Amino acid sequence: MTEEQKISVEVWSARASLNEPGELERCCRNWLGPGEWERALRFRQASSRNQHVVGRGMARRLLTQATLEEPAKIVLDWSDHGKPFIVSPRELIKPFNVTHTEGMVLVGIGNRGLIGIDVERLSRTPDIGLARRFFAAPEVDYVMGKSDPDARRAAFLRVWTLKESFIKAIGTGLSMPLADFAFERIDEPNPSVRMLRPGLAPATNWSFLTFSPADGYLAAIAIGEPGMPVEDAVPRPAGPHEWVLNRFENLLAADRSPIAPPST
Amino acid sequence: MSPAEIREEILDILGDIAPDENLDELVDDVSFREQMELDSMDFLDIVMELRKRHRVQIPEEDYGHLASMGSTVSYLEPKMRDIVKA
Repeated sequence: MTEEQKISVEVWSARASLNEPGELERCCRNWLGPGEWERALRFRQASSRNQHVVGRGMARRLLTQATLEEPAKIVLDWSDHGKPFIVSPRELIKPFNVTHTEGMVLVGIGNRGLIGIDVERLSRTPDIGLARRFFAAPEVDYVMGKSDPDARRAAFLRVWTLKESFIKAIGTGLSMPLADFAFERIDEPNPSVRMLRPGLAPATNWSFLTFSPADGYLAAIAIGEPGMPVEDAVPRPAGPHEWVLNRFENLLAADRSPIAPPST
Repeated sequence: MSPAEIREEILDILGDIAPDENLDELVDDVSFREQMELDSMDFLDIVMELRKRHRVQIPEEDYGHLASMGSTVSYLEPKMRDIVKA
């Protein structure tokens, strides 16, 4: 694969406040588009409101980075299943995805391809019965094969974030039955997916990455390369595409710092 | 169950899934996700709980009907009208 064929993805993380809005939330509020603050006010929980504001504001700030465009003026829209996309300006159109959970927001931006991202708190205590009801059989075996309850919970969240990242990348949401595709090599940093129903996500080569954006959180990102059927794809080592994880708070700090005088 | 009883049942399930939310002010014609922190996992919890409690099966292609309280009650009414509220 040549350099120009590679998909490069930037993932940005931010720690949204659980209570009163802080500096991060105040900055992000300034970048919201028309009506977005009013929609944020519908959330009665401060934590939910903060996640919403940071997700939207942060995405707008990042999508307009290194341009003269004002973050609030970029026009975004959402598909029927909630996948966000840029409407205008057309020259800024690129794939991106947003995920948040209590105290953590992630935005993934790619130079091309399909991007889906999901983050969960490791302290979350999901109903493991969801695995039996909704996961594919090999994933159920993977989760239920863990004898220790904490390990089983972690295994569930690992599969869940991968499945969420995938359905977010293809933009179907939960209308795509979760048992129609199964993850393999789940414990590795770059798991792979196997379609269990013919015709799913055709002509797209998928790469996945599981990572921890901060202590106590687990995330997964799906990167889809359209036009390359899985069977025709060149076998690649783990980490086929370039990706980098950045802290959004560092960008904010750089925004605030004065321009250094030229050295003499 | 009447539409009002189905609504009460959904509120009861939401109360278990999101105990910190104040559900008294839930607006029926605004999507759940625009009012409360309800993610995909919570959503499947609702689907599973309806199945456990009332044997109501909801196929994936119908999940879009469960976006708001109003659309959920309309969708479930024919499926739950013969269920007697305990």
